[in-house]
Amino acid sequence: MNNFLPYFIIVPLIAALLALAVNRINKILPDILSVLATLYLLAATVMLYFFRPYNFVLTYKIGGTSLVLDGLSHLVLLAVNLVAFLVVLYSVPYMNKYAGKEKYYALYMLIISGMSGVLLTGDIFNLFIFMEIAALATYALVAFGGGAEELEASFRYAIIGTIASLLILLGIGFIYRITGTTNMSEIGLVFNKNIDYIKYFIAALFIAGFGMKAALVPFHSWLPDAHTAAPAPVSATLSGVLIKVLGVYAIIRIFYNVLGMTLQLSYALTFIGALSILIGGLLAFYQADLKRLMAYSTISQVGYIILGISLGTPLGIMGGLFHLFNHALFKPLLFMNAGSIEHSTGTRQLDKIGGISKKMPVTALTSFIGSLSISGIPPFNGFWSKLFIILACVQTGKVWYAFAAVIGSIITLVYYLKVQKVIYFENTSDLISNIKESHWLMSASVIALSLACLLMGIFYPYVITYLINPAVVAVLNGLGYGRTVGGAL
Amino acid sequence: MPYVLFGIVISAAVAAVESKKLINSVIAFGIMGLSVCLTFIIQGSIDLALVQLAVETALLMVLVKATKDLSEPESLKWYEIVSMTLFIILFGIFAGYAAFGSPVFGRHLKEQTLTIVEVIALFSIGVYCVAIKRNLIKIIIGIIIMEYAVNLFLVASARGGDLLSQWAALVGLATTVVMVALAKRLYDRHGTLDISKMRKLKG
Repeated sequence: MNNFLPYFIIVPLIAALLALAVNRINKILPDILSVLATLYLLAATVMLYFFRPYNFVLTYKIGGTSLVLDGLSHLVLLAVNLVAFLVVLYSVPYMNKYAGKEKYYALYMLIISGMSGVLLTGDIFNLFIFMEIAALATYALVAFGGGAEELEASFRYAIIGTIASLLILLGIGFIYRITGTTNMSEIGLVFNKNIDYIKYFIAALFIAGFGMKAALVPFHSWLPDAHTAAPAPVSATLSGVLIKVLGVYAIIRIFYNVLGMTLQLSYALTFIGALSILIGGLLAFYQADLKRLMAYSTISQVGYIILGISLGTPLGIMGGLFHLFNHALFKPLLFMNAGSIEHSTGTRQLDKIGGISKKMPVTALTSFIGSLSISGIPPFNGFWSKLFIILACVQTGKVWYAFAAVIGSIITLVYYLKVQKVIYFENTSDLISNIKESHWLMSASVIALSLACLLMGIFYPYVITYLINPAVVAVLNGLGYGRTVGGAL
Repeated sequence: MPYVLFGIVISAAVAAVESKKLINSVIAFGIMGLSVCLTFIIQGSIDLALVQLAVETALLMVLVKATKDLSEPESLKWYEIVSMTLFIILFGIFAGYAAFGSPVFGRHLKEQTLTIVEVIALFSIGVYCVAIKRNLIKIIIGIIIMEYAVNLFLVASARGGDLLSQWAALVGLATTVVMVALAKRLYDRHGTLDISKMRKLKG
């Protein structure tokens, strides 16, 4: 089983190169190749769930570094590959309107390769390298449309992303200076207890750096521009999984398993999470652009994940990780539907679109499911994860944070219902007279995601037992990560 | 010798950020890059010096040649100055405290104190440049100055640090290429390098 790990990084890399090459033979080959590559990755991830014993760690040693797959990285890897497969299916018809589709596939495969690398690597410096591979590909993809707005958004994203990377690299430099190693399983064991104040400086660098990558509130200004300007499948990937892999996953891994969580760090992250929920939600409320509204909503939802995880209790971590997985299902769904609407009507302005539910029933129904899930209405999956986070806040005595989470949930419900009402049920526009339902592949991927939202909500106890709990165990292992991985190597 | 280099690096960095004409600023940036590379060589990592020197400065020269907008708009607001000063003081204090307090693993490198002061100063100058300046090339220069600072820190930190910083330099190089390409296309579209004049997006 261990020999499977490098293929998660190598296969998309090869697919990226081949997509450029086979385009010369036939224009349809890059489509087929990308679908097959992502299907392979998804199948391999799902298969590992059956062969990986519960709470077991898989490792693979190459040269001086190692690849590690534990419960946490497996959960996020599943989300990444599921979203990647459905997004590639969606892109097959959607990206036809852009020139250079094979370049899109090549860059997209580079993102997947970088994200898998971040999730699987056991070395903090390799984490930085893979993060930069993924980030560089996204800078190019945000500018893929080539318009003035896209270029400007991409430039700003590149600037802020690079500053974030340099802050992270400075933190890694401090770790390397003190411990003499970049292996994540060794850092926690070697770190000298007498120099805790340096740990807080490193933690501050990492909060700022990964906070910029995850678009937590004081560092969020790039996200609405970038996620609005990118083509819809790219926005779906960026909002759905990329900021979670580059930001949230790295925060969890480094703060829990490498540096060791402390009370002060937990307080700081909880505060940032609650701030993101409220400010992201309030800003989303005032947007008139459909994709921009969803981009701000992403900030708010990532706040929930950080709030849940930073509480440090098993229930809070479970809620946070469950919400991470759920958000990777419903936010791509909503972004893809926004893309379908833009594809059909040619606009994203909320007041110009109206009453499309008769012409586009699949888009309308799946958007409705996505909106209910993200606002936390039972029986959809978003309800359970938000409930766990709020309960965990109450359980730890942080009643005000629970209150903030409830308020944020209500704000989310209000602005998504506004969207539903305006777009789908209010017949005000003449733009819609000759639109038709989107291509069947686009419909298939959004239907798959909305079914996943519904099923995960109904069968949530099984989801928690088989998907979330191994990840919670891996997080709660804390600095024991070093011993677990070191023992498995 | 190290003290002379230190003086040249810092003054060239300030000149690169503050000079009014863009061509002067790129020349000063080149001088700074050369001096930092000499520092790398003193610290014993020659490969890194080669990587850094060869490409980034040349890239900026190409960009300046390709664009004819050499003016530098100035729009300093008081709160920008206050927040930047506050950031630089806080960053300097905490980073210095952390760097001087940390026990160095492995060999003791040459001129630790001087190098750490240089790293903190360069990083602060870079952050200031990115945050305050409105010209795309100045912003890219700021990013590269920060990159030099971090690489210098990696090299000076421990044995084997130059291996890490070579990778980091390659990554930084790729980022610079992407940013230069974006800046060139933005210039073609708007006819200016001033980011405040091309602002179509809000917050």
